[in-house]
Amino acid sequence: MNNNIASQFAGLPMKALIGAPLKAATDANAMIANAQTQFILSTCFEKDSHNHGHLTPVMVTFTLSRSVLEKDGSISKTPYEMEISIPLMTLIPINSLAIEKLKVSFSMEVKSSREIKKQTSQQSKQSRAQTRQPEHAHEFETELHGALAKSGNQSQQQSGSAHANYEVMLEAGQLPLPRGITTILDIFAKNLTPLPPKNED
Amino acid sequence: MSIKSKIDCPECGVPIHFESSLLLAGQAFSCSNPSCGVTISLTATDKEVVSDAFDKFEQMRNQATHQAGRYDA
Repeated sequence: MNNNIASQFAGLPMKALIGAPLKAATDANAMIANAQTQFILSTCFEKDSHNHGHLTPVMVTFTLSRSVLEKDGSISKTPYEMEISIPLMTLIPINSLAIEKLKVSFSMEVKSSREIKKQTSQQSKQSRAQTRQPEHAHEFETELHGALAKSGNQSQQQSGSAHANYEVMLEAGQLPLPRGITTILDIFAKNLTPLPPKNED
Repeated sequence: MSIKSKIDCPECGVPIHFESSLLLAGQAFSCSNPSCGVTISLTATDKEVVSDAFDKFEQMRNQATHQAGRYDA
């Protein structure tokens, strides 16, 4: 019987059931990555007309403020201010647009059961006494399809139950940033050196 | 919608977390390293460039979310 139940799953397109959501997520991720690339190139870089159209990062100026010590060792009341240029690219959380985790989970269940009920000998005797019918007339079979409910009677139950459960769980994680982008970001981060303003001595 | 991001502190390398709306409003953000004491703020001259970049990023994010939603359907 179990084989019969299992065969009911044979026609299910498992490849499509598992693969379709994953492919949709992958396509969406690729689309997001493409949009991000276009965004980075168009917004965070500008073409340098003097250098064969090479792309140069757009820089934005920040004011950096820090406390300094006076000659007597006390902390200065007015903090020292400098200007720093930071690549615009480093301000944008470019790696936040991606599908971080994909979980496709579904379960299928087919349940079928057959129950054969036979009255106990004591019940049969009582019943026979009441109805005065031959013994064999009080033996009966019941065939049910579905879940069996527990019962408190003493009837003998013979049940055949077939149960098939399929559970598929698929997880897809986020890939790290491409090495090229991480290298550029590292270079940018390492070169954020504060420079004093031009009008200072 | 405000975008949360971070940049590495030019002095100590520890991240300085900021929010786009507050940054564009002129607020200064402190380094998360308590012994560093550095604060940074965007200069008014480059405010428009950064604002434009954040707007475009937000637009792209909304578009991508919308497209991904269509895939789900």
